[in-house]
Formats: sequence, structure tokens, C-alpha cells
Amino acid sequence: MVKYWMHNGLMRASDDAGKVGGRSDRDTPAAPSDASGKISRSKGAGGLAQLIAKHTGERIRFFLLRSHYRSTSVFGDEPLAEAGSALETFYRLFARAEKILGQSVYDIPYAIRRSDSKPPEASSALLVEMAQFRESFLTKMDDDFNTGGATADLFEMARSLNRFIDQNKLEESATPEACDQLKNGLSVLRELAALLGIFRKPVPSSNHSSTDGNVVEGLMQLVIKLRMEARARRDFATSDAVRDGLKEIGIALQDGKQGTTWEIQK
Amino acid sequence: MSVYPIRVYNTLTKTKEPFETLVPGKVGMYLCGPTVYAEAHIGHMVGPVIFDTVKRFLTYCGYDVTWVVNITDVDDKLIVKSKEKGISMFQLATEMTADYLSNLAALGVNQIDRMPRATDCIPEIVAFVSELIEKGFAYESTGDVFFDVARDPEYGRLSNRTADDQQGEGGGAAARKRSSGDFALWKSAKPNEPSWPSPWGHPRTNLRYPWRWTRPSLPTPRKRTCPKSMLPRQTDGQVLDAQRSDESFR
Repeated sequence: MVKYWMHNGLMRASDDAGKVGGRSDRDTPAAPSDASGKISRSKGAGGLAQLIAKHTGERIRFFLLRSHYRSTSVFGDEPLAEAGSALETFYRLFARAEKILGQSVYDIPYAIRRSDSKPPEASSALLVEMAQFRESFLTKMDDDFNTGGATADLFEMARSLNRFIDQNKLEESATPEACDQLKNGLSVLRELAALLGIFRKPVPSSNHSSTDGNVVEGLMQLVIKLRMEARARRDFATSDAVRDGLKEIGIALQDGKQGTTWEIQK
Repeated sequence: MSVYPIRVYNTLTKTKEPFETLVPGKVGMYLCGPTVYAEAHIGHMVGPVIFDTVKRFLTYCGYDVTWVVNITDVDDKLIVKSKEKGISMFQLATEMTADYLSNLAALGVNQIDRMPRATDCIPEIVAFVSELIEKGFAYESTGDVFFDVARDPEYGRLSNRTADDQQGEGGGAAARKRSSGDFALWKSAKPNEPSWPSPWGHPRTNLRYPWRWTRPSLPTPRKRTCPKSMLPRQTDGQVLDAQRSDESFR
């Protein structure tokens, strides 16, 4: 037998359409009305594969989870791009941490059961703070799966972790103790992100589909390798020309311990 | 009693209720899946992404969760679309199911345990419709079988509508129904349409809304079946369904 019936809000194509159904749609299951602006096949919606190619699946997923499931969400390129730049906050943090730790954030283990988590060492202000955000995140999830509210705690966590890196100047030099704290803090972030099904694996470039992304990634690795070879034979004119040329087309190279990474500049 | 203070908004009672499972530690979730007659759009991903997240969260909280999403691969829309494309209904369903699955994968939806297709469940559907007729909740009318909404005083409670509010099916069906709100559980096949043998004549069948019958546990017919207004909406009619038994999942 069924104990709970759950219904998600509709996805609308515009703000105006959203107002037609308004509150009644959130409080009661909305009637499927064509006048409501609800996205439907009969009105020509489709092309999800192209949308994924343009925005990546992670971005679309994050966009969907940023609002409460019972609310009506307005869909479009703009809110998706917004979700994308929100995600960049985390990707940038992960890139910073990777350079400091010499390890991919995606390889940091995390608790997979709620009961696995232990109270943080009181000596670490960072970890005490992270535990508070974790508590806040889980309280929101307990309250009818409020993913939208919970994502706010992820941003707070990213802010704390970035601040920890800045204040301790970890990019210049990091003690093993500081690295451990950073790693444990990231582990908490990963634990909660996993509940939302995000940051499961690296997104090579958020601007490309998996197919295009693979080609671009392959090309970039080739360019990076050729540049490294130029540098190895002290041909700095060529290596600089590669870097500057890429910069002109909006691609930034970053040299670090783990080799060279690249990203598309906004 | 749950270890964690989880609360769930129940559409039926319009309140947030403490989350307690029927069987300690076990949760069954059922989500109305797609009718695979065309490529998916973003609206089809809302339910899967949300319930993928719900399952991740409940699993994290220690529950043993089984999640079933059905695929409706026989329906009027499939028949019409496949004719337009000049391919068989089954080929269309196969192609569009593949599209759906690849979109799910791209969005990280990987928690679904079972995806039964309606055409794989015909014997169960026939048995269930038969049972509904036997118990007086459905009736046959010239080869079609309709659900009798008048027999259910609770009908429409979930959607907050009365049986009279329900849109009746137009065309020839209206004359063959007891009440305009009655909806087809089983449709007779027209020539050249896919068909399966049934007690209501042979060969015929053109299933309508079959996901009702592919639920993880096929229970004894409940008085409050999925109201019609809930039925045609794939992405906004979800059920978190704490099932009594997990045996029927297998």
C-alpha cells in the first residue's frame, strides 16, 4: 500500500507563465493546462540532448535541485547559466585545493552513511564550522527534502574552505596539519554533495558536452604536451606564444605541481 | 520510528508527516516514468533527478530503498507517432527509451533499481484488470474496459477534484461509458495495431495508462486508484510508496 504521495512542481518556460498558476500549483497538484506555460511536448519542447551538450548534465541537475521540488521552476538559458557560474565557485575551490594537496578533490573519501560521521576536533575552527553547516544542510533535507535550502550550506562551506586557504596562505606553503584539515573539510563537502548527486567526478570543461569535451580535452592535452616539450628544450618563445595564443581565444593555462591545467575564461 | 526527524509532504493529507516506513528500514519508491514516443525534454528529468536525490538521502540515512520507474511503451501516442515515422511501435519505443536512458545518465540519475516496460507486464495487467472487473470497480463495454469512478467515493481526493470535474474522453468512447469521468484501462485494438490476447476478446488491446499496473507491488485493487487527472502527467505524478513487501519487487 501507498503511504506517501509526493508531487513535484511543474517546469515553466517563462516567468509570466509561472504567475498564471502561481501559488495554487505549489499547494495542490496543478491541473495540466496548456495555458499554464508548462513545458510539454505538444508545445514543441525537446532537444534535451542538445541542452546537455551545451550546459553539461551536472549543471542541469544542479539547476533542478536549487529550487524546492514542490515549487514551480522557470527554465531557460539564463537560469541554467546562473547555475553554471554557481558551480564554478566549487570547481575553482577544487582546483585550488588540488594544487595545495597534490591530490584530486574527487579522490578524497567521504562518509556514505549519516551515522558514520564523528564529531569534529574542537581544535579546528574550520572543521567545527563545517560540522555546523553539515547539520544545517541535513536539517533542511529532513524537512521534506529541501534541496534548494541545502545548497545554500554548500556555498557557505566553499566560502569557509576558501577563507581557510587564504588566511593560512596555503598556496604559498602548507603544513601537513593544515592539509589534513583542508582535506577533512572537503570530505564533508563531498559527503553532502554526493546526496545531491553532484561533484561525483570531474567535469573536464563545463562548456562542453561529453563528446565535444573529450575532443577538446584531447586537443588541449596535446597542446599542453607540445608546450611542455618546448619548455624542456628551453624554447620559451614557443611556449609563451602557445600560452598567449590560448589566452587570446579565452583559454587560461595554469602551471602547478600536478602539471598544467586549463580552463575557459568567462 | 525513524532515527532521523525526516518529514515528508503528503499530497493526500496536504501536510508534512513524520517519515515512518511500513516495514522497518525499508522503503519502496515508485515514480511514473515516461511514455516513450518522443525525445525527452527537461520536464521529464525533474522527477527522476528529485527522486534520485531522495533515494540517495534515504540510503545515506540507513534505509534500504528500492526505486522503480516504469516505461510506458504501448499507448495511442506511440501508435500515432510510429505511423508518422513509418517504423514499428516497438522500434520507436526502443529508440526513445535509449534516448531517455542516456539523458538520465548524463544527469547522474543512477539510483533506479528496476524499469519495467508495460509490454513486459501484459499478463499482470490483464490479471489486475480482471480483478478490478470481478470486484466491481471496472466494467467492459464493447471490447474496452473502463474504471468506474462512481464506485469510489474517495475518487479525486488526491487531485482535489470530483469525478464530475474529470474530462471525459471525447469521440465514440463517451457513449460506451457509464460516466464521463470513467477512464479506459484496456482498449481494443484497431486493425494493424499491436495487440495481446485478453479475456475481453481476441486479438485486441491497446493499453492505456498501463503504469498503474506495473507498480512494484501489485496490490489488491485499492478503491482510491490513480485519479485520471494524475494519470497523463509523467513528470508531476510521483509516488513515494512505502511498500509492505519487497518480495514482489523481484
